[in-house]
Amino acid sequence: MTEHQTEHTLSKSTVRKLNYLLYLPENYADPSDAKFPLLLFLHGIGEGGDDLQKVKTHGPPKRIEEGKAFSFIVLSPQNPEQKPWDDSTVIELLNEIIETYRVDTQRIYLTGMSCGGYGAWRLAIQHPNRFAALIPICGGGVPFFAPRIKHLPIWVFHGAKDPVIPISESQRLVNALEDCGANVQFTIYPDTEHDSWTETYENPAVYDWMLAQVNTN
Amino acid sequence: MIAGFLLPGSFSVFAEQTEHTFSKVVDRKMNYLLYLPVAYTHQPHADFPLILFLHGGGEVGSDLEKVKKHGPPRLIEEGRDFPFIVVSPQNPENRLWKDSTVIELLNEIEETYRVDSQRIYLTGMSRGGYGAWRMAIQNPNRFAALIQFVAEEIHFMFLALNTCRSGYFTAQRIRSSPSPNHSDWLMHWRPAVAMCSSLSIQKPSTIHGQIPIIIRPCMNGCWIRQTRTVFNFVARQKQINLK
Repeated sequence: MTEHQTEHTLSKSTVRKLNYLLYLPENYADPSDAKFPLLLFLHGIGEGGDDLQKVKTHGPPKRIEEGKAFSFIVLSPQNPEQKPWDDSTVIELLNEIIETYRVDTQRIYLTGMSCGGYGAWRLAIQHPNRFAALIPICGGGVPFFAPRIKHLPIWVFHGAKDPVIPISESQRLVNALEDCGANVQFTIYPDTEHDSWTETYENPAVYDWMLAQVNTN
Repeated sequence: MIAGFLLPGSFSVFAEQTEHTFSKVVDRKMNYLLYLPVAYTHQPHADFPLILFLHGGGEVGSDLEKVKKHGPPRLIEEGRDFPFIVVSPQNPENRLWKDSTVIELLNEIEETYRVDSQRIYLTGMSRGGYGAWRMAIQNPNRFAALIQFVAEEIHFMFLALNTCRSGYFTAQRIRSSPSPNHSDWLMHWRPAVAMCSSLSIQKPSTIHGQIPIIIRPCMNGCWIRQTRTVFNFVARQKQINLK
């Protein structure tokens, strides 16, 4: 008689750690109960590690470093390893920030570039009611899951000549979203290679669009 | 500005970004089925190969019986003997697998049982197929082989940035008669491999080893039909790098 398979349970406590940069707008200090929108930014594969200065190389953290004053909170975690983001740790961090700071939970925005673009797509798909808008830049994901975020305002960016992550990676998600009637915009930079983030994060229209989105779920 | 606006961990300066560390103890729980080969008790000093099986979207929840519906756990339930340990966790939630919890489980199994760490194989179907891709690529030195059946497509990013650039990817694609809805899958597969070859040429210094992969585009039940193929494949593979 064969010894059959038996039932067990893994139960373990582990410590999760994530370094992050946090930007609070100037008027956060004003004595009021005002809540602020929040932008969660996921960097690319090159900025992973334990030196938070690296996170300032690109994207909103770079803009802030250059002196840009944003009207919203900017949360920029650092992936401790040069591999895809650990999604659940990022969500744990977001939970803690919401508990600690005056965050307008109807206006939490998600963006990421390159490997962080993939992370942003995954995070949105796994938490479809958490965010007010999604801005994935030169990323990609699994089109099969697109219907889960068809209600979410999404603005996708990609360089047509990207040699690292081909534009088809964004295109097929946009196609899948359009097929299910989603609210999606796709900006293609015709002559841009991989760096489609600099132009995007310097474009005031992107932030204006973003801040106009409100999560009513 | 209000004086003494103390925030957790540090003084926060407004209109500037400040450095912080998030740290939290997280409880992880995961039910699983465990199969030990008959020989496990007869050979008290031997180490055994292990197959980690990730189920699909339909078997999530807290009822482990559901995990026996497909794949190796089903074959075991039908009375089949395997010469290796089979670990079949159950995804507690109806969402993507939590990769890091699965890896924790694998760590615990390795600490507890006599596992031949050079012969740990990873397989999954449907949503578990996606999970298997992710886990193999995020832990490239952990597995001796990846066995893929119902994988709709390869996650291009993972391939391009990790697997292929590092030269891990030596797919062994066995032709079967793919059902029509898998044509997409094949379409994505070819450019991915082409892209990978060029990347691995650019980055020869990062070549670590190879994960042999068996890929078979077919639907549920394939594990049952293809058991012999899997056995032969597994028998040939041994992990090249120790973790």
